[in-house]
Amino acid sequence: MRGGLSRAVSCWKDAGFFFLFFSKRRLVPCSSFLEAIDLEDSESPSTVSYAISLFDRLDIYIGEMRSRFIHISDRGKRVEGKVPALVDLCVQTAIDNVRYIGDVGETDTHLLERILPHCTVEQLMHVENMTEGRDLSPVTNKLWRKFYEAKFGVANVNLVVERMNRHNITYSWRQLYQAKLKVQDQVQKESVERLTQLYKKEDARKQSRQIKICTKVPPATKKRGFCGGFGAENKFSNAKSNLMKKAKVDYLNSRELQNRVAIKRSASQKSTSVGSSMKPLGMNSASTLKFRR
Amino acid sequence: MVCVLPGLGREKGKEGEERVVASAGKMRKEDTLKLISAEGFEFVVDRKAAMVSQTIRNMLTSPGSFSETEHGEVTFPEISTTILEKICQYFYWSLQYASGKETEFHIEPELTLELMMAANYLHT
Repeated sequence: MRGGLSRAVSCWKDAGFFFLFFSKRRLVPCSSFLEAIDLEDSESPSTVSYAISLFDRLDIYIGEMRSRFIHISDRGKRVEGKVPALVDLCVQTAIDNVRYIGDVGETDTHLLERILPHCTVEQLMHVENMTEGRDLSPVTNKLWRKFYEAKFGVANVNLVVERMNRHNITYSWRQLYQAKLKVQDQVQKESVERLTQLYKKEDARKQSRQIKICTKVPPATKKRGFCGGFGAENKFSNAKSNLMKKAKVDYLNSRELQNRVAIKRSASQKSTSVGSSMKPLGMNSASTLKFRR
Repeated sequence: MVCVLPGLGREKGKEGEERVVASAGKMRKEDTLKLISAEGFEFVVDRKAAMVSQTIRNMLTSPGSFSETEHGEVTFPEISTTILEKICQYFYWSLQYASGKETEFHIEPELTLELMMAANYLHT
């Protein structure tokens, strides 16, 4: 046998799949290998010559892969001169329209593994929410871990892993992502509120120092000031009132006033007999005063 | 029954649902294969075109005798008419591409997931 055997290549045709394990543990779908080496279905795998030819072509294939750097990726699936497979065309279309994907239904896992890595966080969340009756975590768990790492850092990832190992509990990375996001939002909200409070406080403090216009008029203190105080005023008013009292008594007892009163009396007697209305005393006194002088 | 051939359209036939559009030469029964969708629509295609699908090729070339081989009919109860039509279009596009005429095969976004699953099943 050729040296290819030492590369630990094993091939199962009857299972319907071909897996070729190279020495570097690289898994290659046999369909692409068969296309590359033009393996005829009629060849029986049991003959030695077949095995030799197989490994010969395997050598060539590996060589080609190394020299051409054939990447088994979705974009570069077109091998030169070969017709693109419908599956590959569909995968490419799906990737181009990944934002419109909702319920993925019964799509095969290996196809989802080619498409879903092209989703953003929101798109992946949408796909998982819309796909009912099917758990996509075998495919999406590693994607969520990458999102977690990108958003919260490698340190956090390691911390979470360590905690899960310590407590022997496993959560899906999607749950962890959502929980962490919630916590982060909460912390952010609290800090924003605290900041708002501080700003309000500062504003209030500044407002309190401002000059405010108020409608309340302070009581007039001019007279009080001049008089010198409440006690002094009392003293003076007492003296004034005594003098005033004396003046009043003198006036009332004066001859002038007595004459006036007599005239008024006679006038009122006349008016009651005639029936005219009495004039008010104030007016009367003013006019009569004029008259008397 | 609709036979989708490149460059030709569909015509309404005389008998019920059967509408066969012939190519330039006569289509013999041995050269054709009937693909039946879930709804019962029948697509008559060239055997060569149908062989683009590994699944169909295996079915027709395996040593055992499947009823499909004998009657020249393959039923796909899980594939809808629209999808099967698109698949037939792909078969002919594939032959065209292999013969040198490299054009784009456009896929409507709304068909993508279903078409992908059918293509995966048909190994094409």
